[in-house]
Amino acid sequence: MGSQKRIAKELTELVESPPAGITVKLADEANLYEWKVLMDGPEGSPYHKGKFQIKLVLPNEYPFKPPTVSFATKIYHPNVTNDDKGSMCLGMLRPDEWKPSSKIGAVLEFARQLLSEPMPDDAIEGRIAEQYKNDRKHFDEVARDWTRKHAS
Amino acid sequence: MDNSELLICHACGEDWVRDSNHYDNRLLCPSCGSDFVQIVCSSSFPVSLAPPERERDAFPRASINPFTDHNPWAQDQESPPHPGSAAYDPMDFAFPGYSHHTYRSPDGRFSFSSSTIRGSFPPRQGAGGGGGAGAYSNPMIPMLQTLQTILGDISDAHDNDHHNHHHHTEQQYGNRSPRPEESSRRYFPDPDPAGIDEYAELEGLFPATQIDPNACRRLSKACPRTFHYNSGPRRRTGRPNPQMPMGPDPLTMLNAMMREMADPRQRGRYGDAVYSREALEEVIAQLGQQDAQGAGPPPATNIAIQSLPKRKVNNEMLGADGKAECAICKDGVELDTEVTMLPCEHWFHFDCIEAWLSRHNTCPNCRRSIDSTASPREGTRENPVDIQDSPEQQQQQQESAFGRRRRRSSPFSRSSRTSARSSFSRSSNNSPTQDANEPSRPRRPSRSEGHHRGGITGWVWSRFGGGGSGCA
Repeated sequence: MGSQKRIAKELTELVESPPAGITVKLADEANLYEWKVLMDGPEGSPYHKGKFQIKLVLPNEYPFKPPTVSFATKIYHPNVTNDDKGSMCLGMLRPDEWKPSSKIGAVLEFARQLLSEPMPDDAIEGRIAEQYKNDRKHFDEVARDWTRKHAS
Repeated sequence: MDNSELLICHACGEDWVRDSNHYDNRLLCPSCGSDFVQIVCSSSFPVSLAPPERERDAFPRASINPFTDHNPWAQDQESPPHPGSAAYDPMDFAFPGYSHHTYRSPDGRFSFSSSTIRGSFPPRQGAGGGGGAGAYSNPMIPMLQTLQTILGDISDAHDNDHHNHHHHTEQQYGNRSPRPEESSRRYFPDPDPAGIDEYAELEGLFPATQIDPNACRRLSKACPRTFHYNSGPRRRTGRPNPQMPMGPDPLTMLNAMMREMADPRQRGRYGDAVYSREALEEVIAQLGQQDAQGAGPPPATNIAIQSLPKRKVNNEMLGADGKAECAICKDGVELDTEVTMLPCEHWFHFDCIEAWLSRHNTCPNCRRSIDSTASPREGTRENPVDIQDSPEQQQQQQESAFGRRRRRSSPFSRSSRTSARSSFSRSSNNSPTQDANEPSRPRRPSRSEGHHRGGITGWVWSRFGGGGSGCA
């Protein structure tokens, strides 16, 4: 399988020189296609000091099809579904936006950036997005509360 | 020859038809021999008017009362009798799509027959649709035929209003092969273009339900010009050729449109318009499916992939640091490795890019389409639809980012030109060739043409009249 080589290569790179606040490992050593990512809540965000577990799943067709990113840790965020899946809605991961030249590291960095700057206009959780836009103080409170409760 | 009688035997209940020209003088039941028989229906039962080869088929249909199983709404099988004036013959249907109706006045002074040929051979060819008698595959068809009848009658009514219709009707028939039993004949058009399109009626003998002559007259007076075209050529030439002139006359066009609509393959769609709820839902479902398929640009053709140029990697391609990798497999690429180059000059291993292009026909780096002749999808960020404001501004907008003109515009639609501009300048850094095509000349329009033909006229002229200054 041609994709394994690239995945292994990317994994090695990410383990050897991880991006800030991100650590990756395989969920199961025998399976290259499912990664466990630990993401530190970025400073300055209500997620600061939280540690978020993310499941990154690569399709067999990777890199021709995009990976999926989902939060195993509950998070209060306009762009993450507030359910047991915790799917993160990333534009670059949409099938029509995905480019095979994008790397997993870039995806993860983008995801972390999204914790710092949610995109309420592309929100998947409309109610949280509304609150983020209109009642930022309250939003921060709840997000911080959830971070303390679920991510530490 | 055309005197037939329906008889019934009151002794055994048998009923039969006999030819009154040839009967012997005794009325006896052929079944039981009783003479307790009654002529139920005499000369006005015109069985013999049927073409001889179909006569036998007709007999079993004749019951005690010819109207017993008459259904006035079953247009395909039977037409209603003209009240009080004509007897009715529920005639044969020897082959699908053909029906023959005969009407006679009770006193036998005149008869009127009508043949209907519905184009349905084979059934999928369209307007005729269903084929078998009474089995419409498309509910449009009865409506369509009624409309057709009306249209044909209207044009004839128009003739009557302004000309001596009798005269050229006779003239027409004079040019044709004789039709001894028919004073009028009607064909419904065959969907096959080579088929028969004929509208020829003798006025006043329509079945009452088919047409109200007064309504016709009113209609044709309301729009005489429309129908003038239809009746014109026939009147002038009196040509023996029974085919309708296939020129751009409104009825022919309408007819063609209606045929398309009735075509089972079209299922209520005509071009990008829909005429039925089912068709609309189908379109919606189709769109939904497209979206669900994960979208993205369509795959490239194998030919397009195979014909991409291959290059050996040189120092220039390796870049400043002398290192390069294939963006798909992320493997390093050495000097002199053979790679495949896309029109945007991004290059990849052939195997890698083939795998991607067989899914989407865009560059994995810049998303530019590899198919330079086909346009990238319009209406995307990469290729916004350029809608022009007004005829005056058309001259400005002659070149698009991809070196071809976009002409999706209407003089009547107002839309923000600036937004179209800005979105395409956003994407212009994607491709090296775009810059060359970006119009660098001043935005001021050259009004040489627009000056003479401004406004709507100018727009129409430049669009349809081939006023193509700067046309690519």
